[in-house]
Amino acid sequence: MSEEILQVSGLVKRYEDLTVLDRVDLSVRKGEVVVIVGPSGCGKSTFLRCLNGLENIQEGRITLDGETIDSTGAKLNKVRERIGMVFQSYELFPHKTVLQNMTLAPVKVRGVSKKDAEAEALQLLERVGLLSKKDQYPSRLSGGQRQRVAIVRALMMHPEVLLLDEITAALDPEMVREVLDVVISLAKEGRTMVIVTHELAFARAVADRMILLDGGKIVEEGSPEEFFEHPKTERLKKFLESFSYQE
Amino acid sequence: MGFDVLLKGTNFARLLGGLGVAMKISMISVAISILLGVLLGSLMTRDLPVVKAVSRGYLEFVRIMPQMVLLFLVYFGTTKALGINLSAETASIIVFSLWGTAEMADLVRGALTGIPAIQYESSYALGLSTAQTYLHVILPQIVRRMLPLSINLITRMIKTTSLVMMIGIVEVLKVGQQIIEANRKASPNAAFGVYATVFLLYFVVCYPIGRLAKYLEKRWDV
Repeated sequence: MSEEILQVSGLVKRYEDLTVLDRVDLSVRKGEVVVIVGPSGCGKSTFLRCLNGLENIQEGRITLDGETIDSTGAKLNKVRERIGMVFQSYELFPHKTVLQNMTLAPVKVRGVSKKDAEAEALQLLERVGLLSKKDQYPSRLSGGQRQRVAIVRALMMHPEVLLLDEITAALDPEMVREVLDVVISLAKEGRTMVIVTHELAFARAVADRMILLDGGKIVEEGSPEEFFEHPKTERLKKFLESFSYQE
Repeated sequence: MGFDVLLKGTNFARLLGGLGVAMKISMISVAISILLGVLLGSLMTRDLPVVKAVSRGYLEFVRIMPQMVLLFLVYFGTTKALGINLSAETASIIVFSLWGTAEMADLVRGALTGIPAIQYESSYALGLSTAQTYLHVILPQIVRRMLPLSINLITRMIKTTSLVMMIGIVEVLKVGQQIIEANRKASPNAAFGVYATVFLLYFVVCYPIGRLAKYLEKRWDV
């Protein structure tokens, strides 16, 4: 098996009295796609946000390639360059065109020349079928188009790990597919990803490993096959049942 | 039609001089309002209950109060009550700045609180530092949101300076009145020509500013 890149041990996240994440352990190997599912409010989005230092944590340790991720640390920006994140929605910068959205961080943070950044951006846009939108402002794009731009904008930083936080949850149903297809193609080229989603069919198609998070704890984890066909815990059985309809 | 009186002597130049007085009062007030408005507006977004209560009260007071009443209050009121002798120009700058600061502060507060948290977070997630995030992501959005609205405030202020003749300032409208009075016998129709010219002068100043606001709004439609 290939090396572990992201490690989480004993992660505890509390908001005052409320414990959102309760001693979560996880390690992600290079090239692995981990999909986290769970009921609303189970802490799965918070978990992703902790991985990127957007939330401070009370206990435990998160490391990327041995480097600790600490929301208060001075080196946080350096680590964040290596972890990409795409959110539910409204994250493109509305005052910048698609191309400017994509080149801002590489030019300002990585010090890439504007020309090189633009060349790379154009390639990525072509790949997700949005080359013709390069000079548009985000307000002129559909939700699905925006999310595809958000994904390739994250890729511009050459992240070692990509975090996707319910990226289709705010989309119209017919736009979900175009976004998820992009994610599936990223999985095929061996990107390391941690994905939070409600789309179980997509999860099954893209995941190397499935995780059910509930009450701030990992309830069950396993290969997609075990997870969907042979759930071991009652909790997972119930969770999966809530997605199927019977006459 | 009465336009001929404007060609007599220095009448038209006097009118322009009056416009200059109006512009001076409004521009000084705008500058003060922007400065204090940005300060107060940013303060209002902080979680300080006392600041919130005081600024809310101030805002409501200035909005409800007609500007003319405020002018009388400051110009005539302070002289009697506080024994301060303000010049009419100072009094009007104070009143216009009080008004402008309230409106600007509300604009700034709105622009600041209107930026969703996700804008900060997605910028941080791309590896941008806090300073870079403000410089490239947050500030440009705030300026874009505020500029068209502040320009509207400027034109409203220029128009409202016509009130200051009530406390004895000889601005464009007052000069117009004087010209009409002086030529009552010679050209009884002067009123139309002079007031139409005053109207045109306001228009020439305010219209381009209004167009600029429209243009920016459209260009920055986000």
